[in-house]
Amino acid sequence: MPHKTHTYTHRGQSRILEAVIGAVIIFLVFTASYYLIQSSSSIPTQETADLNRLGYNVLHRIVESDTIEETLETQDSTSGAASLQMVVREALPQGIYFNLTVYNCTGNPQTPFAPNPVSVSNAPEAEMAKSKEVSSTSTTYTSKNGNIYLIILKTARAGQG
Amino acid sequence: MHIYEYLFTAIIIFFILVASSTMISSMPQPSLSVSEKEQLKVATQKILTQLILNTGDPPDWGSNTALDAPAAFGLAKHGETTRDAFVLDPDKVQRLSSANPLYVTPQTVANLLNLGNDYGFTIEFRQALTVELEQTGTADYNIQVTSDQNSLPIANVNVTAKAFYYANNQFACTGQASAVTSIDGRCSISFTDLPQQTQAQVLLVTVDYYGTRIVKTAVTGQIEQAALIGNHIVMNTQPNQVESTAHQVLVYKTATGYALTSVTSSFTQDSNMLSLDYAEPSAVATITFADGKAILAAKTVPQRYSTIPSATSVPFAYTVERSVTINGEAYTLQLRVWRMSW
Repeated sequence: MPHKTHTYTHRGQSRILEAVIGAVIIFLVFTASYYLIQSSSSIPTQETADLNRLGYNVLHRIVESDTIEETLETQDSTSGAASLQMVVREALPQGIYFNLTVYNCTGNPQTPFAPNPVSVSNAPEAEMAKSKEVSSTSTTYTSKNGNIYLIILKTARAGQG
Repeated sequence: MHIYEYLFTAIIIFFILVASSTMISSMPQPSLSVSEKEQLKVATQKILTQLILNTGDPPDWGSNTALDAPAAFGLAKHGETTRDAFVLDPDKVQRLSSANPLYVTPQTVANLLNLGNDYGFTIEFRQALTVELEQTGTADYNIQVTSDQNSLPIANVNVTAKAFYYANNQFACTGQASAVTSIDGRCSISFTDLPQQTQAQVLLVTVDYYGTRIVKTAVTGQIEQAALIGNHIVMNTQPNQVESTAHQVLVYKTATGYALTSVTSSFTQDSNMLSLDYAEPSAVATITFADGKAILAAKTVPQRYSTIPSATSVPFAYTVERSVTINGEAYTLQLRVWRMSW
């Protein structure tokens, strides 16, 4: 009889051990799946896609409204850049940092990144670099005066740095 | 097996069940809400694309006065050969104005967009620049241009103005006046050739800020507003005596700036509708004279169009903005979409 009692006790203890191990495994599975679901969030991808659409919309407005002709081609470089910055700032919603770079590649479209481009921005220094998601959109534009420009607009949401 | 072993196992199973149910209910919630917000974002982007890049069906549904509503909804301007992106048809846009006799209700648009009762939306049209006109004398006006976003004054804006008026039942216009806004965003315009006494007067102001164009009108005297839909002038009541011609006011760009002028058109009358023989593409308004007062027909862009007109803000809505061009003028279109139930 004592032998039988001893066997029952061992069986009971092993069942308790099984239950505990089962609970731990279930807990680990749930925890792991929770973090896996969280990390596969598509927010950043969607965010960049939104900024891309916005960037192309603003580039379209800039080139369709003759803004390049009326700023960079009719004014000196300093006041032209200041006017261009104001126009881009007006075109973008609030809370968006931008950096617009205009390369004049007239006569040399094979190497569009000409030296001394016109660059305007509303972002504090290094703020764009600190942003988690920066969208870059570009277009090539031939002005009515025959100049060829490569225009690159980078946008980021403010407060992400 | 002793009774305490059964009890202990039962307690463990109970705790496993409680922990599991708690984790199941709490774990998907952030993912679920993220997923629902993402769905709302995607839905908003799709609606915006449909609104500003699709012409709708039929493509000329805005100017077709025989149609109460289109078969498919879209606001983009239709072109036979080419089509510009982000250019909206003013005839379609003004169908969203409740003042328009051919107003399309938000519920109709929601059904055409297949939103049903699941989503609500608000469309807002804001001019890219805020222009305020103030008459300081018979022929003197103050003009102030400020930013749409932060109301800051905007300097170096080219302002071109012209007054069209009726005096002694005759249509006439002043010379073209120009000015540039100063650092406070203000400028003044005076017309030396405007008569002291006019029956009705329409001031047309074109504002150009490095390609961003806004057109504003100010009216004084005996003027009745009418809708300009396609080449039709739709009045509120049937007039008895109408001038034999209408005057289309045009705004177009020249090498040195903007030109404001008018051309005369003939029309046929059918009840309260005057159908022009030809509508100029760059016309911003049409003026005629009936029953002793001027009729000003212009394409009006509504400020706000919503499935819930009284709601100024809706929680958990997703908002998208785009720059669009309507009748040559720069606007910011803001679309806000929300789910009616979460």
